[in-house]
Amino acid sequence: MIQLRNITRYYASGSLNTYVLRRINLDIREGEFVCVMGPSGAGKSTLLNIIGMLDDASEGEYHFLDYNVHNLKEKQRSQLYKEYIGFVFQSYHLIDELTVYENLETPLLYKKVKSSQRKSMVCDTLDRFQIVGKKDLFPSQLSGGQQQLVGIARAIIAEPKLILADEPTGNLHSEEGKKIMELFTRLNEEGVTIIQATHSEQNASYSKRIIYLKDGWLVDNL
Amino acid sequence: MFRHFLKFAIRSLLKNRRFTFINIFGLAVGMAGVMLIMLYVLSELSYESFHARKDRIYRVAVDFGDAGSKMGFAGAMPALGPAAAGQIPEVANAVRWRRDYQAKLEFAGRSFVEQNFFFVDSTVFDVFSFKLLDGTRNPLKEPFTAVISQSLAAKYFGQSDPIGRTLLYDDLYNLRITGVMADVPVNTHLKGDILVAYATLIPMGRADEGEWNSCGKDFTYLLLRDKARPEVLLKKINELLAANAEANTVRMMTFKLQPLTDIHFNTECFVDWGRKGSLTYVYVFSTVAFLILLLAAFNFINLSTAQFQHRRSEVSVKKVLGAGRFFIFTQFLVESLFVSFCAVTAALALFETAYPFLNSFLGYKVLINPWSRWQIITATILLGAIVGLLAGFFPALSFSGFKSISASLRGTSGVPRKTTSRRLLVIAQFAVTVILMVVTAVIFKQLAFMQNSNLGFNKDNVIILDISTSHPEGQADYAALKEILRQHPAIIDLSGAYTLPGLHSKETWSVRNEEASPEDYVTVRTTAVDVGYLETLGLELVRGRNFSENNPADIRQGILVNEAAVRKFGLADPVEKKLLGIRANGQKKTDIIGVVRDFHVASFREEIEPLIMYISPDKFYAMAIRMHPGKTNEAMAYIEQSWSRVFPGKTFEYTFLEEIYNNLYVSEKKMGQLLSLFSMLAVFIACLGLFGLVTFMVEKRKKEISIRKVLGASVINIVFSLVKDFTRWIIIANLISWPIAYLVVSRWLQNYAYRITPGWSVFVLVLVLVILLAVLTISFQSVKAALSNPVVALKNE
Repeated sequence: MIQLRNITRYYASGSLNTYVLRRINLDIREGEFVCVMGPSGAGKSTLLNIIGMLDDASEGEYHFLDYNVHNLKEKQRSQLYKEYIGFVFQSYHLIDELTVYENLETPLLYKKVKSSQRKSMVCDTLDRFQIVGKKDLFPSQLSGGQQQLVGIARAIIAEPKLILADEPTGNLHSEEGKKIMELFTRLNEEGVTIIQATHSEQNASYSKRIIYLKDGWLVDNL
Repeated sequence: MFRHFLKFAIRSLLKNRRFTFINIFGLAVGMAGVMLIMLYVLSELSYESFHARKDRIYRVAVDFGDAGSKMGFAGAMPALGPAAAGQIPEVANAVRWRRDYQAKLEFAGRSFVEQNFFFVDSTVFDVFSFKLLDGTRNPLKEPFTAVISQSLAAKYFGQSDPIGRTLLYDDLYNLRITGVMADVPVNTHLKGDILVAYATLIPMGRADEGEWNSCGKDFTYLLLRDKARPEVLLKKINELLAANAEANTVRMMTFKLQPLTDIHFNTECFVDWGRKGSLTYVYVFSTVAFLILLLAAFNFINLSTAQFQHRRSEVSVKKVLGAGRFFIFTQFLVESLFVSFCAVTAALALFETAYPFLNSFLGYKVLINPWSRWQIITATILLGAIVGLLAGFFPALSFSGFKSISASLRGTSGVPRKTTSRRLLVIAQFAVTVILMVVTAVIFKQLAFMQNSNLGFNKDNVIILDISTSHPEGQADYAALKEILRQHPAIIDLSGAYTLPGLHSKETWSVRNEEASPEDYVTVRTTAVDVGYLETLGLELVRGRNFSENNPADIRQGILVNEAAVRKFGLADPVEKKLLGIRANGQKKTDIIGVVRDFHVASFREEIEPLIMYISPDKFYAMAIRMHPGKTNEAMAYIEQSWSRVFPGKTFEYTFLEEIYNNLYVSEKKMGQLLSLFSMLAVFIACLGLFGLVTFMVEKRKKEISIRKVLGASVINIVFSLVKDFTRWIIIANLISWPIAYLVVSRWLQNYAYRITPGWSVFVLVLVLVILLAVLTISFQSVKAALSNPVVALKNE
């Protein structure tokens, strides 16, 4: 599903280039549950952003399904990630002005899903995540764990093939974190590919495969 | 979809209630102000526009006087109208208007004094577009016929049909109503409530048909034929005058033509009908409106875009969720359009509320016909749309295209560092504000100067009664009233007069120094007075003696002159000298008996003119009475009581000299008040702009501020570092606007013969005030930033 070949990412600072990722080669197959680990500044988030097409690699090739992402135009690329990828963030990034229901509805709105279908999809998802009772609350009225739950619900509502989660439990206490991880496991069992970046050994234990990054190098690929 | 946008807009606006409120309020207040000014300007410019033939109607005005001392009269002589219509081919029609300011009308025992009473030629309805509603064809053909307005009809006749009924005029003449016309609009100087056939004057013995040698009485309007040229007409009427009038008249009089539509702004004639407009004020306020609009609009854009800067991460999330360019773009446009329409709605509400106040403030009814109202409303809505689109467009454009989603999601900003355009905007706003403030301050300074300067007379404790001694009965009444009033100890002195300081009436004579050559006549201002004039007005005699009742020669031929007259006639030793030319009450008024210190008869706009006072009890139109300070109540009661003894049944009406004189400055005062209102508005808007900018800057420097705090900076340090920057811009704004403001006020002060110099104090005061206000505005946000917990800001990094 994902093939990274010699992916390098650097930022120009003055005359020197600061390397964040160096010649990453990585294959991820559909249905995997991958965990990217490494100390702060190792390049975890950058790698996820590149996979998620929110950021461009400076060098290297990136193949996603049958597409050569590195050759695509901006517009086609965003078309691609909208279609196949869901994002989960450490700080949830729910839209404060919208209720839980409306937050879930938003991606469908952008995809121009019909109103009636939208409604049934949102209701299904609310049901599935057991947050029907909270559908009219605003994010500020929810606990961190509940917010992240909504965040994940929103990420999967459009039925993506891949979920990218950047420190999804970073702001949660361990009990909530555990629930989220169990949720990921369940999703993975249903066939969704998941890539998460994390510091936590415990979170990593849920995944089937762990990748270690250090100073931008891929040092271990278990 | 649209519902989604709107819902989102409303929620995010509610979330920033305070910001939304000031943004909407700022624009709304600005727009409402502009609408009111527009209304005023449109109303001023609409004068006489309802006459269908307005472009072909001219009034014949007269320049009268000796060379070098001409005066403008709005009225010509009775003979001109018919002669011009009959003998000059360019003239299609002529109408004479003669006014009786105090026409007493009576019907069924009820009587009123009417001011808008005119004798007019029957051609009036062919020339002007007054709407006849009912009555006979050609209603003013016969003598003693009249056309009345609807409201006058209602006043006298109630619901019943007025046609065919009669009104008793001046207790003597029966006027038969032959027509009813719609009420005349306010935007004309010919505001007749009752129009009486001019032919009526003939049997009354007041027609003066064939009179060519006096002017001022009959306002004469000529309707030109199509394509006739006014220059040609002017030449022909002057030839007409030369052919008919005496040589002396021909020497002193010149006709000029005033286009009907210019009359409202034309102040060449010292007595004219209707309120005079001022083109200067129209220009000034149009400019002010434009500036305020600019301020408010840019401010709105500035504030909105600053506000949108906080929305980067929201936009990023939406993009990640799949929102395309179009969605982001539309969302911002919908949001800013929504805000601007809220502002428009608020502005319309403010406008409707403020409109009656504008009327009472200006002291006359501003015309608001449905057409100009719709013009204004439509313009405002369009404006709101444009402002809203612009305010949404720039952020929409920058956001919909911005790329570094990942960066803004993590909180480190892709926010542009440049604030040059915002800074320039704020400088421009404050520059405009400073100009308005300086102008306002100077106007008030000049007003204070005019009101606190020594006028040369004492305007306190003097009341003025309307009287007339042109008829013998009037003279007897005057003498009787004078006799009664002088007995009371609370009354110091009194005097009848032709005119008084502050009154617009003006009497002039051609006068020459006895020793000068017989051609050296000069037109000077004169006034008939009574013996007590100097004492009543508190005038100072600098040489010679006052009139004395015991000296018949003084009464017969004595005159008092002011110092300006002494200079004008080059009199080294004026007392006992003679000035020739004045004839009144059958006597020649020639002998200078004393010189009075110069005093301000007119406003400070005009140089003190030469003035001659003489005694002539048949030419009094006002009576001034000086009361003892502290005993005015007693005196007033006595005066009222005496009035009803002498004039039983006539209402007692009075004014104060102070009031009349201060009325000369009504327009300055109003202009000052209006401008101060608008400069406050400008200050308010500019401070809003500043507020927005500071909010924006503080937001951007949040991290910097936090780090400084962690490193040990105090609140004062931080606030000062922010204030310093802004203060510098405000000083720059002041420096830019001072020369402009100086030019403007110098130009304005040129209107006054007696004026202040603006002085540094005004500028410095404005500078200090603006800085103070700005610092206050800035501190509000920066103190908040400085007090905030640095941990919060840093954690988000």
